[in-house]
Amino acid sequence: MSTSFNSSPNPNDEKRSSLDAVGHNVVKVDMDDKVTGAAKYGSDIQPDGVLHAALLRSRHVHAVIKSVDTSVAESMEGVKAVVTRDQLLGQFDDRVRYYGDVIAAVAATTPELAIKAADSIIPILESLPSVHDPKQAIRSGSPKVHDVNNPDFGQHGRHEFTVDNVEYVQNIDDYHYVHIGDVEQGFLEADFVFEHEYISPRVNPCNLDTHCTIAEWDGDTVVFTETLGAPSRSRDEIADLLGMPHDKVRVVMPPVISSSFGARSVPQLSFEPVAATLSREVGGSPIKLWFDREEEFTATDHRHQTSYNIKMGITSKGMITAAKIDLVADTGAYPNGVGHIVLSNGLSRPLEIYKIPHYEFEGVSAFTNNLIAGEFRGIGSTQLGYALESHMDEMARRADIDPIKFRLMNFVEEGYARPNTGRPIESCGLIECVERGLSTFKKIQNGPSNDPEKLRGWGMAAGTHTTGLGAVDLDSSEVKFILFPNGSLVVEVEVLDHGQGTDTVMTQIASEETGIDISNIHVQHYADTDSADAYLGSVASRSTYITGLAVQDAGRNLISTIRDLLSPLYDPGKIEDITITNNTVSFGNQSVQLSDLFDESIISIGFAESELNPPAYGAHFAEVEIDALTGHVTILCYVAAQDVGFAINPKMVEGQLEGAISQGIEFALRSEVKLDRGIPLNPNLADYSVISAWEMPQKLICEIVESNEESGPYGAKGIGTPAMPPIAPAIINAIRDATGIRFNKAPVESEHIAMALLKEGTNQ
Amino acid sequence: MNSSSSYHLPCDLTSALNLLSEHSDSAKIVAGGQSIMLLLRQGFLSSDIFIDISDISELSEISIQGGAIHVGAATTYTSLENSLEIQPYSVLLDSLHVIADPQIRNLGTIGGALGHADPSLDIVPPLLCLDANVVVQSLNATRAIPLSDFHQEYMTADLSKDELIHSITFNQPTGIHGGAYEKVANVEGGWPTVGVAAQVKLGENIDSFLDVKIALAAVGDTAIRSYSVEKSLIGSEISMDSIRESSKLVCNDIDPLDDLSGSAGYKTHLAGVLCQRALVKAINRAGGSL
Ligand SMILES: Cc1cc2nc3c(=O)[nH]c(=O)nc-3n(C[C@H](O)[C@H](O)[C@H](O)COP(=O)(O)OP(=O)(O)OC[C@H]3O[C@@H](n4cnc5c(N)ncnc54)[C@H](O)[C@@H]3O)c2cc1C
Repeated sequence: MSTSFNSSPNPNDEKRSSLDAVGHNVVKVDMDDKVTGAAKYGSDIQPDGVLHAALLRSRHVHAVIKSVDTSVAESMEGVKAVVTRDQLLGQFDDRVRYYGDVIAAVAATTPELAIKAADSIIPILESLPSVHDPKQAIRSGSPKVHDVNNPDFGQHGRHEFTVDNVEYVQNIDDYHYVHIGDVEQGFLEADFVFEHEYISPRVNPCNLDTHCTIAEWDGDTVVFTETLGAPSRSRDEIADLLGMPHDKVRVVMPPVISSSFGARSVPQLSFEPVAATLSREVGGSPIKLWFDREEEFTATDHRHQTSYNIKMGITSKGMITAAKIDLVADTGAYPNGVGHIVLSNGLSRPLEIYKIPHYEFEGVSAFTNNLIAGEFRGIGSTQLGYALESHMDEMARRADIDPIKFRLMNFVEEGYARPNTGRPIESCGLIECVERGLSTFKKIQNGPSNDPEKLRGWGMAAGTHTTGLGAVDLDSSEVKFILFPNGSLVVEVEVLDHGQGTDTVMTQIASEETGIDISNIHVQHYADTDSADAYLGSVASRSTYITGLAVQDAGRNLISTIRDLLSPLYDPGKIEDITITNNTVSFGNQSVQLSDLFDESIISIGFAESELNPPAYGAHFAEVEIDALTGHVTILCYVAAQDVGFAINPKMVEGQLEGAISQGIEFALRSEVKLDRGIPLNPNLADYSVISAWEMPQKLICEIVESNEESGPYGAKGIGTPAMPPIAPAIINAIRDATGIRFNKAPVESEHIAMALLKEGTNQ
Repeated sequence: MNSSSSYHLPCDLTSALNLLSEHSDSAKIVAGGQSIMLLLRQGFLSSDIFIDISDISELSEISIQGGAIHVGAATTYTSLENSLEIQPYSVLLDSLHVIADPQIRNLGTIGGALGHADPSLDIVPPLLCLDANVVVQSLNATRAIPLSDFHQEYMTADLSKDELIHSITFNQPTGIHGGAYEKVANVEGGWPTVGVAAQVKLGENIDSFLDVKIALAAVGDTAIRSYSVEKSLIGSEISMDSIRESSKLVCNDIDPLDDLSGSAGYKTHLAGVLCQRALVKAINRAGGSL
């Protein structure tokens, strides 16, 4: 695999060379601890006397609990608490609604004993009819998962809605609708109208470190030690779920933050409440609940499976006249606020990338007796991106228009007002992404094969996802700098380094602003939800953008504090270009020891807020080779051209892209949690395919496009999530090019390709 | 493993056989642990006594005796892959290269595979093509059984409770020969959706088949020989057409199931495709051309 950075001339070279720490490939500051195994994650914590929890989970997908016999478990030596579903804190009734729903839980002195005790519990369940197709679920006559629509489980983003569709009557988690212009008129204006459906897979991020929490009670406050990506939002959700005041719940971060990809952005129903209940049963002492891989697959969230129906009209030249999008997303058995994000991102993304004069969107997220869906990198935008970019590609091919020109013709540009909000697009590197990406791709592409058994093709897809939470709310961040006389600087931030590199980025920005050497800067996360009110953490690709700005502000404030300390001692006219090196402050041509300025430490606070949520864009290109007889897909070349505003750490931007590409390949070709009427068929890593370096593109180049987002630090905007949407469609469009067949259900497995080719007679 | 179970690590074969005879009802042999640990962890198996044979040097020897190769049961895939004796057997080497990942090949053993008797194991079809015999030993007796008889039912090896697999032997192919193993898996290093081994012996002019052996993984209760394909090719001229037509006959001998790795229909299609490819590769390696 080879990657190169900025293979074409970059207008930002000059800007980059004027910066010392920012804009350069600083080595990740947390790397040594992680690669040597010294890093202490949540699951490594083992408080004295901790008890271990295990759950008895439902093997029915929908049933009423008639009775639960816990007598054997209770009689076991070493078992300290046994609770049944009706005793759990929170909203647990007598019904289980999915495979994995909690029936009872046990705390014991060892994990093995806890499992044995949980297994000894005998539940008597009476099966209820179940529903597994979200399109059926919302229509009358299907079994009801919840008695009411929009039930309140303390989920964030819950809002009142009215459903405009008379057919959608029940099992509704959330509903979004918009109509801009007049789509029917738009279709009349079109020369060519095309409609198609696209189904996305239920994928799991497969975090290596499975969910683990330690719950304990401090008086009437319950404390959870675990990684939660959005700590204060999750604290509120847990409190609402448990029916407790927000300030009676505390979330404490472990020494090292676990990876997430969204899996740790919301609390889990059979997780925090269960651990909290068990701890209360044993007088508040700590309970460790650590999911095994099967629980990770069955009881934590997956990417929403979605079906998108897209109808689009274009003129003979290729201008979009209208689009009508219908989305049905499978929320699974319980709400967690993420259905709302899937729908709202599905609604707005098309308008953030293409100019669509007449637009209608209807989206519903439905309850079913399937596994629970939740956050996963590029929530909703990834599914929409796959559907929309598959559609754009197919539409262009059917109308005999070049798929790339078709996109270029319809792209939004800087300043274009999004019709749903009226807000102008902040910065837009789309065209540069396409141009640079394509030119690099052309250089490395293999072209057709001479072997009739090898089908080659290439495709592209564009995509977008926004940076930060500005669209939803005013997004803000506060950070604290503590400078010690020996020149070491502690930077306290709210964002969490799940591995994506925010500690390094914040270190770079702090160093840039103060002159302090990278090795003297130590980033710390706020210890817990009590230390800050707004503790949004690392979600929505907001960290570099908004917290980066706050770090920049704190750095500037620190320098001005030092100026204030210097000004009584020196001629204010000569106090310029203040920079800190080791334990010395230099200014003009003078220097002074920090210890001469202050004794213990000085503190500066930085603050940033933004009402904007600049979209970050990408255009990705893939060349595939398909074994016509087995259907096996090899990705020969891949170019990811991504507009990140400004790359504060180019190497880490590449890292984000490469990681996204591996997850995008899983989505496109390999991975899916398969359900048979709600029962997972592959809830383990032996049967659920994850890819390795083997399946990565043979040649991979990242082109970093820098559109200089004015509102971001040094021009930066997000990369983590915006990298996702273009990947799967670029690959699937390349498969279309190679085979002539449009696959509209991902993952497109080898079998699907081989059997489709067989049907067409291509591989006889 | 439960708290009352005991784990033995004998250094010599006699101690192992003694332990086995003493505890034959409750003992389980452990070699590389790459299959048995999964069964234990998933609760499909429990045992009181584990006898780990990986320290018995006699069981990991590879030797050539009178034209036959003997491979000790505790030989790991990796050491077999690297052994000089095995280099001429391309059908075996092909499969050794594609079994799981290097980490698993470093621990997994050939005896463990044969003891496990999973129909999806990659190593079994090549050994069937080589007419391998399994040497089985107990405290009082040693017997040799053709591998084709050793696995007769799903996940069952013809072993008594006091017996262990000592080694596997096969003759060096004679004449103009070549072999190949072809596999399709969902991801690199994954279990085969289908695997096909082919071993051919060609006539003097390299234009006809004197002998053909075809065996498949993952398409039945055990690894399966495809006698239909073999019969239709033995004695015939080598041609792409005959290979293509004969390969289609593989469907007469297999009985694949719909499962997570693919539908029965896809597996049947793959079996034919891979059979053809394995034959072509085997012929090329024998010096034949198509
Ligand atoms: C993640 C993973 C992926 C894998 N992928 C593949 C793959 O792609 N292709 C493939 O072919 N295989 C694959 N395997 C399986 C692997 O090949 C087998 O696990 C291995 O061959 C078994 O050997 P072992 O020494 O580890 O056996 P063990 O697990 O130690 O034992 C297996 C069984 O054999 C018995 N046994 C062991 N030795 C003897 C003996 N000498 N006499 C009698 N009985 C004995 C044991 O009692 C047990 O019942 C994979 C395994 C894992 C864990």
